[in-house]
Amino acid sequence: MGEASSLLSGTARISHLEMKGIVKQFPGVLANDHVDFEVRAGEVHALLGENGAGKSTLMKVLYGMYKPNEGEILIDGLPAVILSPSDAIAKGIGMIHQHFMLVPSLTVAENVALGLRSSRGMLTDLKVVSERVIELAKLYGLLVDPSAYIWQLSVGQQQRVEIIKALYRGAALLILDEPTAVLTPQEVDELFVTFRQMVRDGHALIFISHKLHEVLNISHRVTVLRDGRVIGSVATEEATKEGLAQMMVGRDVGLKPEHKKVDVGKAMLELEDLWANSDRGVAALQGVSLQVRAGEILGLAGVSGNGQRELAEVITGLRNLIKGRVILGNKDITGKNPGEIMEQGLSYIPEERMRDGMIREFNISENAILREHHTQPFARRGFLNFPVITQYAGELVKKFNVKTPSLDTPAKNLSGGNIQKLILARELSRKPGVLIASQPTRGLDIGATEYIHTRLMEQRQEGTATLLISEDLDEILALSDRIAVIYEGQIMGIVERQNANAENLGLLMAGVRE
Amino acid sequence: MSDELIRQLASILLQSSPLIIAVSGETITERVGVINLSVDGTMMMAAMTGFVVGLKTDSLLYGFLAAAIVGAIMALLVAFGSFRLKQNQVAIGFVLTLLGDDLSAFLGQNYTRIPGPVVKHLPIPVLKDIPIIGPIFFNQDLVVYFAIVLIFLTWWYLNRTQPGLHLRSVGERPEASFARGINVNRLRYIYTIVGGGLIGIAGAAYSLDVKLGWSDGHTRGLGWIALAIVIFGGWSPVRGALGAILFGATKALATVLQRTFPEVSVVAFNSIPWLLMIFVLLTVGSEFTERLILLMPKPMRGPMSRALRVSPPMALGTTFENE
Ligand SMILES: Nc1ncnc2c1ncn2[C@@H]1O[C@H](COP(=O)(O)OP(=O)(O)OP(=O)(O)O)[C@@H](O)[C@H]1O
Ligand SMILES: [Mg+2]
Repeated sequence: MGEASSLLSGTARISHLEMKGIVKQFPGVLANDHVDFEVRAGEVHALLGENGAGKSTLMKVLYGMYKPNEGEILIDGLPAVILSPSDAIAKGIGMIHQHFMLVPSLTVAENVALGLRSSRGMLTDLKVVSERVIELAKLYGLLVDPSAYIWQLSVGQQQRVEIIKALYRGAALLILDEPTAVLTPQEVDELFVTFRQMVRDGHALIFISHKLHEVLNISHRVTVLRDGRVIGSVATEEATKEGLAQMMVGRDVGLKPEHKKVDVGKAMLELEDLWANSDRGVAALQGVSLQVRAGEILGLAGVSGNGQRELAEVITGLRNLIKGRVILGNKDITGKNPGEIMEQGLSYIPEERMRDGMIREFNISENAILREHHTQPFARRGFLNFPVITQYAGELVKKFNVKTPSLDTPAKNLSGGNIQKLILARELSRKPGVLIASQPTRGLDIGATEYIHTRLMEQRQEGTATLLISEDLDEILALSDRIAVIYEGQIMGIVERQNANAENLGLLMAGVRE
Repeated sequence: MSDELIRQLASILLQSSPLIIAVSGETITERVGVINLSVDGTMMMAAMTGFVVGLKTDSLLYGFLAAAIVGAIMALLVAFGSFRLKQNQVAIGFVLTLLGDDLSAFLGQNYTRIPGPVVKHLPIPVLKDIPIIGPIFFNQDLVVYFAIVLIFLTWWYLNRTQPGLHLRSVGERPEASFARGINVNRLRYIYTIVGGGLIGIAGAAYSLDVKLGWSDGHTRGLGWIALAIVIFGGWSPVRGALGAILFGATKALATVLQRTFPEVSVVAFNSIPWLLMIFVLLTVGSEFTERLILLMPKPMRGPMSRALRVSPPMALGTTFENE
């Protein structure tokens, strides 16, 4: 790893950074309320809190993306003026963003090169960048193709690019805003090796995650935010999962949902020999056949980018099939468009919820009825019935605990986790016959995850057939009745709940058949 | 190839050159995410200024320089009104179009229909003697050479240089560029002004070269054509230039047809280029082209779809502000 450290150096040093009395007010929300926070070289300081607690806001203030209303930042005891990311970068601060800061129409290499000084002066040096991206990718186990366009990548792959971008530039202090939300456990392990190495080399890291075991594993200190205020800080050695959860939520949280026995009914979703290409034109699905029955959750496990996204898109009519049939209930829906398919009783929680799940500029109410805006009771004779819509949206927001200043707030102003909750609320409230759920709890806090899991279980009891696509093995193991593993567009095997464990699934995910 | 055809092609290239320059300017502007809708008014202001300054100073260089400055100032107004005063870009551009039209007519009223300086013919030795290519491309004047060089220069800058990469990223996703340490609004100011300067030069290229002199509404309508061609060209400088040349070619064709069928009304032929423009705007990027692409043999589909599909810069017309 000696080589790795040399790639990470080259910027200013920060031995102690302190944020003092930070206040950030958004219209209707006090996102940060006199927050004090500090981090030292050689440590990982974890920042915990529920969705909307103000973690990303605090970090964006530090990175110069937001201007705080009050408060100051001290670097090694001296006041630091950080008015923009370029100031932050100059001071040696780097950030991996929760909402990836990637340009979809550019390639991976171009995104990495953005904002850097080229080694060829005026000309781009994409060859050099590509080579180093490959080098870094190998070193950190984050494989990506530098010539791929961002729009062609799965969310997991985009996350890798976002991380590589930060590592490529190097930083004395690196902010990691939920970098592991979409990574597989193996990838997280490799990433942690890198983080530890960085810490040993004297870097300071700020780590945000909703996964408590990760926080306990990597951090030295934990600070918990709730409603924009610091609740407390503890040394990780003295912290427990239960204790941290308690601090975050303010009540006890049951961490595992109950898996009751349900009688399985007839097949609700049948996939027969599906073949499809990815956006890059290569075979992404190579003869996938699966059945999901009423009252069962079929987990689809696999490393990101092995055809999960294409499978979901093919079923929901967003992507063309080359070959194969999709049968919903007893209707053949192959080649139908998404609107028709949704009307047949299919609900879909897309992987890229920011892009496919909502309209950023629309407010909460409008997003809440996005699917059914043209039907009773939301619309009558072509006009929207606003009182009904507002009432309905209000109920969803309350039931799913979406934190928002009002129902008129544009969706883009919600915190990452609260946007997720809104979309989940909409899709799960439709009482679907078949539900395709892609990474349904990604980026959700513990309380919200618990609630979603409970809801998925309830739907299962009511006879919904669920295809649960997730890279989170814990989630798959906790919820699924059967688990199918996908690898390079093929189903490697299907394991019954009682026989499944992290080891045998892990092997299948790596493409090894026993 | 017959001499007559070669002469026609050379003339089409000359006629298209100002449009090529204006299209390059507007392409740069839009690629950085700004709509400068004032092209039509800007070109008229610049054509008038360029002509008058050229006449008074008896210097083509000062004429073009003045035109470029006028174009840059108009563009600066669009940028400033939009970024600083938070007004709608499209509305500002539209108002400036009307203003440029009227103001140029008013300021230039004493200079209409009088002879002035003319850009000189400048054949390039040796190259001009290459058969066919020589007389079309190298037996021209500086405006044409500038336009041709500009096409490739713009393409090269956008696609091969680091500042070009930054330019494109700002037009696509400003917040991502900002997070990478790029000063979004500064780049938008710079390239909007540069684009405006080129649009100004295009205006003077009419009054000092392609459509000599000044008269009320001298280049009226051509700015809108340039705006349409930018879209037609899918925001690519090379395809935009081809669009400008295609427009020039249909105009030439209309003239020829008119001579051949003198009994048909002039208006009918004059409308051909415009109809073509409308047709192209309606079809490019529509379902129709998608179908067309599917009808083609497989190996052709990839390149064809890249050539025919258009997607505007994602952040086009939006403003950026950090909170
Ligand atoms: N640009 C903005 N405009 C208005 N309100 C905002 C904006 N960004 C964040 N907020 C609000 O500030 C609060 C804190 O949001 P923030 O994104 O910091 O939460 P978070 O702790 O990162 O949550 P998550 O775990 O869901 O990512 C939320 O209530 C959110 O709605
Ligand atoms: Mg966040």
